[in-house]
Amino acid sequence: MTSSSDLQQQDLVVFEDRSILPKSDPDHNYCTLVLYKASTRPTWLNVALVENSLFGTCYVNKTPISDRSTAPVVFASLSVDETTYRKQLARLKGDLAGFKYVDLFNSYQDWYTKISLEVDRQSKLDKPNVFIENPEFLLFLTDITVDKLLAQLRKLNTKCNLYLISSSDESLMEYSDSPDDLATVHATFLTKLAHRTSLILSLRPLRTGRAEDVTGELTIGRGLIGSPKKIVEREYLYLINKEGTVKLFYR
Amino acid sequence: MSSVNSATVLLNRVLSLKEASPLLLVLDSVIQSSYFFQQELIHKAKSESVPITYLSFETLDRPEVDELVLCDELSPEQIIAKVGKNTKQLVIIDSINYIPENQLNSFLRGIISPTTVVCATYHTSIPQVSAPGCQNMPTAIQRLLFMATTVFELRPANSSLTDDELEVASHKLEIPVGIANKPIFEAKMIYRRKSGRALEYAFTIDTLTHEYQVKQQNVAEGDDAELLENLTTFNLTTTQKQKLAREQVDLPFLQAQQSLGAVGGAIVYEFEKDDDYDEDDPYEDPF
Amino acid sequence: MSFRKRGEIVSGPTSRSVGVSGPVIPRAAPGRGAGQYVSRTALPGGMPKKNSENALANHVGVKPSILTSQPCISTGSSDIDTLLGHQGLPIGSSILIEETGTTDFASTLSKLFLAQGIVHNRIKSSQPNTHDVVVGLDQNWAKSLPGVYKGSKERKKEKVQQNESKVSVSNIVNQNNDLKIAWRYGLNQRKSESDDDTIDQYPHYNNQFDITSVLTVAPGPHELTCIPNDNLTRALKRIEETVIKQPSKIVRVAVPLFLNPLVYQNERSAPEILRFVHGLKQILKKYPNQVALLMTINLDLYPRNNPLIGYMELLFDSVIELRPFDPQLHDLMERVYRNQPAKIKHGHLNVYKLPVLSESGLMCVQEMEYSFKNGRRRFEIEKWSIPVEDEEKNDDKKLEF
Repeated sequence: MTSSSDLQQQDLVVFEDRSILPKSDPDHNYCTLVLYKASTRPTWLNVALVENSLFGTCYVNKTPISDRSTAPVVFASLSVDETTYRKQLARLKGDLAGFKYVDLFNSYQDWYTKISLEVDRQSKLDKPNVFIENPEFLLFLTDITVDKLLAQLRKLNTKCNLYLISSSDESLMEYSDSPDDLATVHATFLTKLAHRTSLILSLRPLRTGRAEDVTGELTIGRGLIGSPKKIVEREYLYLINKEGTVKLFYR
Repeated sequence: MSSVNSATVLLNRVLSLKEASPLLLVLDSVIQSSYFFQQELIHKAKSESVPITYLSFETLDRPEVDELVLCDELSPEQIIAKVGKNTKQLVIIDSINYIPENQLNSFLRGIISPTTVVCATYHTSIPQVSAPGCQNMPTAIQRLLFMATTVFELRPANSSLTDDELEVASHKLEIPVGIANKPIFEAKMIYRRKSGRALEYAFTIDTLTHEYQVKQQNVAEGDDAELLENLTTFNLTTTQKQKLAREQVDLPFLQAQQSLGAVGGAIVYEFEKDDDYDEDDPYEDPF
Repeated sequence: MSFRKRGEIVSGPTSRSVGVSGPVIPRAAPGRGAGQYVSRTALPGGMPKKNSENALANHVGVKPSILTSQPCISTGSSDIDTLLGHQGLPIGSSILIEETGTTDFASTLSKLFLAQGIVHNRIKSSQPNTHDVVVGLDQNWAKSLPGVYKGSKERKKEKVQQNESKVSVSNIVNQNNDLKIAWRYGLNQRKSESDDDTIDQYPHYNNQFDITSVLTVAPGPHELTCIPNDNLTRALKRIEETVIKQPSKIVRVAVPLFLNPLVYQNERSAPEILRFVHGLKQILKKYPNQVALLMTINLDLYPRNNPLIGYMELLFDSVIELRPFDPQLHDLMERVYRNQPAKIKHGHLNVYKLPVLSESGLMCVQEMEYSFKNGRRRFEIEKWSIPVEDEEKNDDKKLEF
């Protein structure tokens, strides 16, 4: 048994050069998958990634990041409304001009045009980091097919770094051989998507259940295609405490 | 051993496209994707200066190939039309899963020709669905396995996890960190000769140094002697002589079966003089 | 003392220390250090919309969350309110109540939720402040909403005094029950004072209901809208229309017995169902200071490993499950607590998501930690403890030999 109290707090590091988001690379667009379970929602991680993109900093880390690079953020969620994230981001000390929210929660029919317009607008400044939370909702909210959705996401990915945040709850991954089964559709989408990613972050609760001093596990793993920047594969334990701070520990 | 040498030679010849094997099928999973295998194949083909056509259904970055065809918005017929057939070439399909099942036969027939080698990856982690009305038809993977002349099955190297654990992990998409999707991996190769005889080898492929090693299969043979070796300072293994002696021991149940075999498994009570048998006790009736 | 009673935010934007730059997540567990109430600093949720500001201002049934100071309403059961961590359901959020088995405790909770709305609405007949919406059931069902637990204050006090003077087992147990729950959430102080209206700022926040009675004047269409469920898209539209028609009221939407084949007769595809649930969430977030949602669903037909439920849980702000005991366990409890009927519970209560907290990333799953009892006057929730058989039981056994 490890208890977080006797472990040392660690910094969030994704790449070998201690960066969290890759620096803008003209030759390569990253595709990252963030997987989570219903009991460990990734809001805190999304905020950390957005912060890192906007300001180069990261509130989770104790040691300041020396090599700061920034890029605009386009954020869209199909499961959560704008105020939820605005509230969280308001706490970051900084100008949120580079943060563009695309409201897909309330209107998702023309999702692709909306995001892609915003991406084009931001691209004039720098290559944006685009976050889409629960893109799989489109599969039942609209009549888009898995392959079509993936094709559109790839098209989007040609213009930006893409972060796709999806649930991998067990009930959604227990697929059958029926093509109409929600789980089959969900699992097909996620697995096909995984084959396009170069980085996979996942959040899940402890296997042993709820604990007072650990909220869950964060794993940083290679994606299924090679990443030009070397990834530090690692498992962290994380704790979100009462004050809203997040602490990471090595597993 | 000569068979080991010939195995790596064969693998080299297959990857360098010198063997007559027109359809290479790569079975990968989310635990070990075919990305590095494809890189290796591209590397080999380049050194042989075979032109490469890459059919991309999911790849974003252009690999180092001569021609890249973005297929995700093309129909199978359009894709076939884009693949030339005249010269010797390698066609890599990054994922054959995207071809609709009912068009798979015609697609492969259109792509395969005497001068091309097709290397198709099939992602085994993607759920297989049975389309209505196709219940009794062979699935895509069954057909691919039937048609393929060489099959590679990929799994991570040096993993402490069993196949079952890897299967569960890939099912839940909980990819083991530090094990999965490394540039060094294991590949099981099934090579079908023209005569129809299949050869089966397991390799460890290092795509960084481009070295291949035949994986020692002693463990798979089911003898756990090797596992016990060097485990402790005690001698846990048996010598050849001990093994022989052990095999010659007649076990008691064999003898017992000889005398009772005639009765056919019934439990026979034989009265002996020391038995204390009470006729009035209903619970003591042995018959 | 009055500022203590408002039960306030722990950390608002202004009270934050400069060093911490992370997003604020409210206190993880209610009760841990419940004494450190800070006075209220700001109204959360950004700028409330014009009309909904009216809905909230001086609404007797709204009080700020003790965690985030978001305005909350009571679910009609004070124990559920406590369980949710905020002392209520934050307006603009939703709760899904799942239930296994063929019991129907969840419907009691839907009725309490709606009845609380009606009671609020009737406090000042000149100023209606709350509107109820029921999807799938009709006015006849609404007639069965429970009435407020009767008894004038004086009589109550008398009774209490009488009871206190009597030393009976059930009295002690009952007292303990109250104290246990209250103590756990650090609220005993408030409770003891809550009879006194001059001190309590939220005297009408929640009422106690008697589920064997009915509201004396059945809710009419002016305070409760019934929306048929034959077409879910149309139902969504009608819910939103109702909300728009009640600009200065809080709208409590209840979707009881969701997908129960007796109520939902038309066959529906899974995407259609999910579009409906997503649509409900859109309405909630579109009118974040006006609408709250309670839905109940039976898990026997739609178990939790059904991806449909998986998706629905993703969309809800809070999810709890009622899991009645199997008959054996119930028998055991009856045997063990033969002399303390108040201790007999009806089932386990599992928590899967809590409003705001789960969204912020806190892990809120608590399985087999609570038990519930659907009493006549109260839906009780207590920490679950395994009943232990004492010597009496052994006597029984001896007789068998």
